[in-house]
Amino acid sequence: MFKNIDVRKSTHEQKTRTFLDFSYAEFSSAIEMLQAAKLTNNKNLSKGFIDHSLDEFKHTSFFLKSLDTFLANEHYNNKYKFDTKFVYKLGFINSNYFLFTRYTLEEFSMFIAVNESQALKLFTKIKKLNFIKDIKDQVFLDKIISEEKEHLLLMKKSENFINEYNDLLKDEKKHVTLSTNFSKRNLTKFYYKFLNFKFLLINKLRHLFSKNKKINGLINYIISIIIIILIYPLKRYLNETEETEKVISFSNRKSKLML
Amino acid sequence: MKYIIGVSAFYYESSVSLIEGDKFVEFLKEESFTRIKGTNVFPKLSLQFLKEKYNLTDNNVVACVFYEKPFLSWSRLTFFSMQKPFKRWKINSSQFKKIWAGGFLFSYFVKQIIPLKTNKILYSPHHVSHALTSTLYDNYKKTNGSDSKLIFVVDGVGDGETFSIFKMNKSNLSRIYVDLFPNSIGLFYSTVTDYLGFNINEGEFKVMGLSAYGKPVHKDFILENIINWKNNKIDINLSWFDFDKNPERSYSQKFLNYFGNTRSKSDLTNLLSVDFRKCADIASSFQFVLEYLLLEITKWAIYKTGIKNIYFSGGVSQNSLAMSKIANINEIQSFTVPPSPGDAGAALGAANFGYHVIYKQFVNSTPLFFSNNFKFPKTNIFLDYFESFDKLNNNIKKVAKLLLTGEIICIFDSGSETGPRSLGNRSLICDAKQTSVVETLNYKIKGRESYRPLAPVILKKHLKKYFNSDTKYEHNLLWMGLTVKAKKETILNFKSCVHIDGSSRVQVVLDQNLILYQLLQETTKLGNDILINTSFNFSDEPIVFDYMDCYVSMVKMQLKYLLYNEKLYLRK
Repeated sequence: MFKNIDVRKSTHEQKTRTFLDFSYAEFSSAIEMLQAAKLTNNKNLSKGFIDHSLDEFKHTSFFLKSLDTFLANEHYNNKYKFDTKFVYKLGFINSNYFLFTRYTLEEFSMFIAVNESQALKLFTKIKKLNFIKDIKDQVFLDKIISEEKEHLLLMKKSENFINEYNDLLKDEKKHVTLSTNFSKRNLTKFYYKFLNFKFLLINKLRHLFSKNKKINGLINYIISIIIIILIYPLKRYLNETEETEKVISFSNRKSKLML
Repeated sequence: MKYIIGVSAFYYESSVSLIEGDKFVEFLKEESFTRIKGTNVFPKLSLQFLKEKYNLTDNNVVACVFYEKPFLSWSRLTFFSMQKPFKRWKINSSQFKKIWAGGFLFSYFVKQIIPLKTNKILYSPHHVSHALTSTLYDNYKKTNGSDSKLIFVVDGVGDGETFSIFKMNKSNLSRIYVDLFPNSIGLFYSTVTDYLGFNINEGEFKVMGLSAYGKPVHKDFILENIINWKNNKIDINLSWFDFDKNPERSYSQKFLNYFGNTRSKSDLTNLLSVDFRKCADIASSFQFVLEYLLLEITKWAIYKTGIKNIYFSGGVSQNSLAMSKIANINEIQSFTVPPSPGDAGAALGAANFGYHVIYKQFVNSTPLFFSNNFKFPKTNIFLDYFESFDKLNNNIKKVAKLLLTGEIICIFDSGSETGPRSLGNRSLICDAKQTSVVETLNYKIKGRESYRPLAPVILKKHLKKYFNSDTKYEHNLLWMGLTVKAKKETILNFKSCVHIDGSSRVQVVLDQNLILYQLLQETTKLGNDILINTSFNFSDEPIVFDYMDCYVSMVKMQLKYLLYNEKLYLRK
């Protein structure tokens, strides 16, 4: 689901990363909503979750399209490839469970409310921070260089971009209102505030844990150094050879071994 | 009833298979449940689903088999990278993480869902799992060949092995050749996939499609400097690659210096541009070298063993163009590549391995479709999203007519397919003669690249009329395992499903129970023998698994007709 993304970042790489992260976040929300639609026993909720999921899929396409426009003339870089499997690695979706199976319906709604309001804040900030204007500028820059015909076409594209973006903000507002109202109706005031705080904190921590390359890198570095020091004396024995021809064993004893 | 479970996980497309008695009854990919393409986490949801459907317990499960030997797999790569620990720092680091995240915990993960006794947890060597998948389709073969089988397994890397050749005789299996990491044809090809800007494990099809547009101008250079088959061994020059040092990038700086910088997103949009030509030439060169190496090795192994009954498995076997070239080697009497030769399909082979451990013989057959393995969501709101198109019982006729008027039909019917190709039960179909409709489906609706044609589907009896093929490999066309050459008239009349090199990845339909068979019968009566069949999914998403997926995909693709369990519905 939605993680905290630092929208103050302003270099080209950071902006690209932001678009990519938004794509992952929206895609993850779409997946969580679809799971919820399949798992709930309530028909109306199921339909609501499907509608929500479709909105989030639409937003994913929007950000991916933006990313494509943003990187249209750049050389491919693996860092900016959108690969849906990475939602696990980047911590957007937990590989052990989907949220709907983990939380009660009330908690789930609260979680959505917190995430959607975070998303809304971020998208609004982006608008204010002129991310869109930057793209427009880039489009303008391209237009100056390229032919007049292309200029007009791209201009039209950037207008569409702003219109689509405004639609997206409307969708997010709708999602926040729906999930917040549901939670307020079904939770006590104290529990509502407690859950609100809990999910905000969880989001921050998850972000810190799975996104913070420095912390991850440091932990990896320490563990790797320890293992290398332990294994290094065996280095001369590590040049493994394998006999080419052999009969494959189907013995019960051997098949239980991991080696 | 006794059960054996096969599991593939932690690399690409996790999956689960199930043998009931002596028959395969289930095969499920985890991505079908998660809706995240290529899901590689432990297939918890699939296993949970099987547990509930078959009431799996320690009493009726005799073995649960993992598709590789986790310690062997880990140690070989770790020991390799430890030879130069600081140069291969990133690989080392990623290997160490696997200690507490990958196959080592297989037993723990299984027991969380089905509390099995530890002695029922088995591990099958990775390439043996692949090999035992490939021999499951003998029941579809026309030519039996001899009892002896020669099985080639080619992939990126599995258990540290990259290329193995096995000899199978009844219930005995022996290995006659193996190559170890980093000498990998699979990683050689995935490097160019990465370089051309596609995702590894998914983009190889795209490189293959692109190769037809180029000329193999770099082939001699690649064979002289990068990779070759020398002294009966694959010889790879690692200075061109980074896959042995960096899990995030496969090509080296030297590779970039020679072939130029990676392409930009816009390079492949204009088929006439210089940039497109450059990419196509590189793809063509790597495809040529891949085919050359596989042909050389196959001929060598046939010469060495005298066995002409050939099977291919492993991820590289999904390169249908290369497989077709091998299948046409004169000496070969029979050629088979399974519908799912990649890691997902290896769950079938793992279960087959377990079957041999317990019963001392192999399972030799499996269905192409597994019945009723789709999960209905908890609520049934199907009719909130779809309305019946026609209450009369002539839905197939109606669909045939709609197809010929240029409509695209979504099909969701009974069991789902094993491999990555939709074979008619989870398909989008349209009339192959109507080029504009096919192009709309291919580029606008599915968002595929303009240089990749869609696949035709045809009744078996019409195959020879439109395509050149040989009985020794024709059974592979039941699951689109190979490409065949289209005849001149086909190229003229069905341009949309024939590639620029005149090849076509045709699907042949033989099973009268398939809804696609009934549809083709009807369209033939109306004057068209060929339809287009592509998978029922939106770009970069898994194939649909239940009616909610159908609805979501149809909304995204803006499609309106759904043939759902033989009845035609309109999306509301």
